[in-house]
Amino acid sequence: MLYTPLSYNDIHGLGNEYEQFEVMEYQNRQCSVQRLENGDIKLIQLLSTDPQDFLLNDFAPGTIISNQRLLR
Amino acid sequence: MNQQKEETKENESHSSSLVEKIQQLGQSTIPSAPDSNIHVLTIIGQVEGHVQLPPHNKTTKYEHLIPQIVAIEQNPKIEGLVVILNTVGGDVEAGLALSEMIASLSKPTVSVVLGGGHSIGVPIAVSTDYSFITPSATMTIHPIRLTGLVIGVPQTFEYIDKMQERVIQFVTEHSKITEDKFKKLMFEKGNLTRDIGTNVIGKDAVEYGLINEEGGISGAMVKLNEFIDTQKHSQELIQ
Repeated sequence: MLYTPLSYNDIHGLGNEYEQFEVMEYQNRQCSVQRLENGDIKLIQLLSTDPQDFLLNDFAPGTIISNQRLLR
Repeated sequence: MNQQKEETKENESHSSSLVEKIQQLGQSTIPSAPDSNIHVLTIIGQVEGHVQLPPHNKTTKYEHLIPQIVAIEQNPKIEGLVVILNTVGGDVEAGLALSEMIASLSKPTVSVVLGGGHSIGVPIAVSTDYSFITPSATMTIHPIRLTGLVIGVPQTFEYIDKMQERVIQFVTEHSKITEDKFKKLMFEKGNLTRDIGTNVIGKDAVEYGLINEEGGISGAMVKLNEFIDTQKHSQELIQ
């Protein structure tokens, strides 16, 4: 049950988009990411409660994480 | 071959960022900040419940926040929590779950409402030990509405009424607003364009006793550090 001043259509919209983001761990921190067509991963949002984590360059939104860096 | 290429590319980018740092700062490493003893929880966009919302919504997911709250409770290095809200509301049960989790933390908590803390954002905002609201922020207080298939029987109304009662009870227990006043704001006519309810702005929220104080992040930090100090002091006395 939703409790919000927004109307039903504002939330659910008309399009039938699919969920394109996923959550994964990168450098021991949870991140919401998007898988790009070329196999790279784009960081959408850092999910952390530590304010210092948000100052790290590696976790700026939009950062491309290549598969090579993930394997290391 | 490709792997080698990518590795060299990686090394190059790594060394160029090193050069950049030396050029800008005259040193290769920036002194890293010490671990923060205060953690921040942001409640943004829609509070997502059992149904996943379409991706065009900005959402706060309880399955992300609840483990974080548990980690905050368990980590001895974390001494306080700031909850920052800019939300349009969302799922009642998820919102109440988050509120109860924050209210039951043993560590000091302070909330700041920025922009908006509407609907289910209200219980989350009052769940902390002390709450702040910026002067320009608003909180919409309105009755719960049903969406989707509704069966036209009196029991449906009872169900909504009970759900609403849970929200009212949580808010009145965790803030200084009286039940009568909160219900009056909730069922007020003529304030919202297409709905019953009230849009409470920063100053009024403090006046009604819903929020403790008008202010921003600096006030919140001062208050939180005060709470942390008194908690440390009381623990020393026990020992």
